[in-house]
Amino acid sequence: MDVEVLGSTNDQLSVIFRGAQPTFVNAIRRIIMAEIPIPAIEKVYVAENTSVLYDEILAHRLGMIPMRGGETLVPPDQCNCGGKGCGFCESVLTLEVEAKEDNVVVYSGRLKAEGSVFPANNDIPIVKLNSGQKIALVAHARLGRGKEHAKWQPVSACVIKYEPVVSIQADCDLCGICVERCPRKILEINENEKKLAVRSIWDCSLCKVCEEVCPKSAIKVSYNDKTSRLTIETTGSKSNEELLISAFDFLIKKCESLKNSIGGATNG
Amino acid sequence: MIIPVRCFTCGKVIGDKWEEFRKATLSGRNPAEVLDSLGIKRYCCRRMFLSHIDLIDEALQFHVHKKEEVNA
Ligand SMILES: [Zn+2]
Ligand SMILES: [Zn+2]
Repeated sequence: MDVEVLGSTNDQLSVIFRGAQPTFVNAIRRIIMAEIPIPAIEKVYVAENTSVLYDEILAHRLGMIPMRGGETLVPPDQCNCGGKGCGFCESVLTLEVEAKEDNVVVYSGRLKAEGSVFPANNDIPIVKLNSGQKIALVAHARLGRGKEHAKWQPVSACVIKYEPVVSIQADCDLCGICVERCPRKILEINENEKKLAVRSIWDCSLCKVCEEVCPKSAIKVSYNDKTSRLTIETTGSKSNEELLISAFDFLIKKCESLKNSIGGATNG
Repeated sequence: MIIPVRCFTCGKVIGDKWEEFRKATLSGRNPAEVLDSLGIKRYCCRRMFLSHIDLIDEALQFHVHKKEEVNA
């Protein structure tokens, strides 16, 4: 298996796996979405709320804010408290704002971290207050996994795609119809070599419009499922690279536990 | 009411980009261009911006100021 980074921006990472089964790449994808623990606000104790939003809406909005940190937290199912919540498995944040003027927007950056968990993004509006309105609350964040609730899913989009294969036959007469009709504009005519060329193969959506419009049927679109591209888009809790590496670690751990349990069965 | 924290469909964080979007579109820029420059590519996230109405501003008008209450 050959791994190559196709492109990376702040929130997105594209990696190409060559010579890997699509099922394997999909396993990595699903582990990233459902198995990697990240912190999120789970309980909110509202002391005062005179804003126009109900306590429940406030709590829901707080839950959706991506959180960073929490490396020292114990997963609640492994904690001595039995998952009820204690200082070892929960991290506290507080929010107290009283508006002195109208139209005060309370941003996620106002959440004060008392423990190791803090907001990954400081610019998310939580609520808008008019003068005299007040919110005062204590929020408890804990670790969780994407399979439990979407707020613990560290990525928004996480997708795999096979490698598109566009093959151009020798009887192409460079009529240029396919170049014009391709919705993703991936084809171009190379004037120097007098050849039809593919500019950016990964942008191909396998729509086969070029196949349909070619009067000579000289272009064929197919795919190679031995090469896949995995695109990860983090919400901010962990970097894309961290997510990819922890996904491999998790898969190795799972395989080892399977091996051990099979070994135990044959020995016994 | 107020801009949702995340896209309903894919879960991308969009709340932090609303104010920039609003400012830019009010100044007359094309919404499609603004969304492109904000990096909002998928149509699930784009409709979150295009179809949103900030009703919280309407609700806030019904708030009775504490000071006025005292004076009355
Ligand atoms: Zn505990
Ligand atoms: Zn979306």
